[in-house]
Amino acid sequence: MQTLITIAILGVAALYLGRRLFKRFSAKSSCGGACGCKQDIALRFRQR
Amino acid sequence: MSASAERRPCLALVGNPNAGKTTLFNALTGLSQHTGNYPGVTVEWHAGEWRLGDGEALLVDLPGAYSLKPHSEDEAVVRDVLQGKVETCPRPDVVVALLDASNLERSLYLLSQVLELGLPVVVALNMVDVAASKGLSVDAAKLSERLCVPVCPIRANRRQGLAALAQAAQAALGGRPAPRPDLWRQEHTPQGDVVVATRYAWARRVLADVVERPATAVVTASDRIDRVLARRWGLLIFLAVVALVFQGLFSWTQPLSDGISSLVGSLGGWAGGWLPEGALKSLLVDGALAGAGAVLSFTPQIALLFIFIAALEDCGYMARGAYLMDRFFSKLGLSGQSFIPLLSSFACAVPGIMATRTIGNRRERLTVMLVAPLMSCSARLPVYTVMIGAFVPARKVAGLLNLQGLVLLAFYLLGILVAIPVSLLAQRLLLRKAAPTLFVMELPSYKWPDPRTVLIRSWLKAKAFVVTAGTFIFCISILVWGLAYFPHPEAIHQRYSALQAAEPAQAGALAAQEAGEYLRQSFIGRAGKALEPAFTPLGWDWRITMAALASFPAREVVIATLGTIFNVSEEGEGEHLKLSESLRQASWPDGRPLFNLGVAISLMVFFGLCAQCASTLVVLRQESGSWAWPALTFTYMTGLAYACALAAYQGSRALGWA
Repeated sequence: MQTLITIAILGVAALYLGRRLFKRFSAKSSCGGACGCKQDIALRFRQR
Repeated sequence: MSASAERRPCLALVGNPNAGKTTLFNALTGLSQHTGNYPGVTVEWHAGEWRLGDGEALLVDLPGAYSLKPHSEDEAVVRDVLQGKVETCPRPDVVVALLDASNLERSLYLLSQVLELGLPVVVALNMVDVAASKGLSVDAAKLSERLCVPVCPIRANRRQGLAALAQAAQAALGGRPAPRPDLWRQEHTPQGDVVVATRYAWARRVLADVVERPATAVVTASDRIDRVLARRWGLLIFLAVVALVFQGLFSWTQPLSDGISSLVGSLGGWAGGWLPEGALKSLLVDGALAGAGAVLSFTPQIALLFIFIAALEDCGYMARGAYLMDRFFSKLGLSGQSFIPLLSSFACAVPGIMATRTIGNRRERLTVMLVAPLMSCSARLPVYTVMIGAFVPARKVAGLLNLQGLVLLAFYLLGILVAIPVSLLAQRLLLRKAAPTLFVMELPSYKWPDPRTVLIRSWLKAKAFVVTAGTFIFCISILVWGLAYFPHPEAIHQRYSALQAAEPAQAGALAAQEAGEYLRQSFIGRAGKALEPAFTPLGWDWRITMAALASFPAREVVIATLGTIFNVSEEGEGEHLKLSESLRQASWPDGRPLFNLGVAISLMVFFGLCAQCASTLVVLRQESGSWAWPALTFTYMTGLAYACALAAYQGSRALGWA
């Protein structure tokens, strides 16, 4: 059971890293797509 | 944009560079701010919440600009936001124009263009104290009368006058647009040329009777300080200040780093006692906690570096640095324009390479892009601090300077020294000659750094580093743990259990051998063994080799990787040791200590010069428009790193350090 949970955690870590590297290398803008530059500035704030 | 977001008023903060805009923005919004990029450009936006009466407004801090007729990407963004042409930013309801009271004529040049946009405008008159020190007296009421807009005298760094500014801004919301000077009609000749003098003539008319000037020019405190700091001995003093910064990085953060390491170690011990033996326990203690501990333990150094840089920028000394370096850079075929991108690269090469956009000369720009990754970025700091802390004695030199701090400074200078021949060679062999560029820059008046501005700026940067780089490092350390743990053959355990049953007195030594056997049989162990011969001349074994190779996507990973590999190989699974202890205890199969001063120097030289950063290579591709530059950068830096690390280790051996 411990081994199964461990392998699942490793899988999640590998997927997360793969996604980040893919986003970085496929990004069209220098920010790497991670900064949310296409997102409305006003929406970055908590709505009240 | 959603309806709720539309209801919140939006104000824009506009002003010249060095007018105190960031200080005012931080004073008005505090920590309730976000940053990001404007779409399609590398210009960063800063926005925050500003409490106006009972409600809150969105305050957008626009980049510093001299004119709305753009000469740079920054100025184009200011114009576009004010005209409502940036899709991700609401058009401002009110413009807060920040004027530098000590340089009003130039501030009014920009204001004249802002007034023509037809938006309500409130003027914040900053640096009244600096103006007074120059013998200038500004009549704010008369200025308000002339401009027909509210003018609020403020001292942003002392947070004086902010309540009146908030009241004026609130009153302006939904109010009438400011009267337009309509200079744009006169500004253009029939041939379409822009006549700058028209706006300056308007500014002088507005300022007549508003500003009282002294009969003779006053020598200010800034002028007197510059006679020392920006003249003959300036460069030497600048280097001394930088040396002091590195001394501070070591002396003041070590106890905090050690405390964090101990805390993570205790947490590992607690978690280790709570979980049953097995893969999950090892993952948590040797993988996750070792990785998180490595990230957190070098955060104090990085935060302090950001604090130093922010303080030097805020007091105006960094601008003197660029001025002082211009003469030195001109000998390398560069100019003072290259200073800011190269200086930014000491924090991270990515914004440094982006900042080369301000360099007009393509030859100079490509040269700076090629050498920027050689500057010691903050991701190199952890490997330097761990190696120096573990293998360089903490003794005083000349009774005053800390040897560890001096060695750290030497490694920061290494990148600069290597950049000189690389830059000269690149210009001679790869790039065509171009006309030299003229370097013009403004030296702002010296002022005491505003603690709030410095702390907010460094806090946001340190937080971004921990969150962005930290998650990356954390994931890699977990994966490296997986490669260092599996396949974990049961046969090894059975063999050592039998041996321990036969010789109970040797249980401790056998447990250590068992852990080492597991690591050698792991995926990373097998790959490392295959590659080891190529790196043995550098003094490295297969474990150091694998840690260095795993760090090619991002060099900051190395400490977590070393922590994972050396912790997995330690006696007793689930016991978390401090990394420097693990490194000191590591040995070759024949029992010789693995690490010594020579190996530490070789490893630091390799990390100091190698291109271990995927983000930098991607940005190089985007900024140069070709894969040739990142390929060239990767090849020359990796080759250079190997050769210099080899020379450093073999030299250390000759000196008896290894």
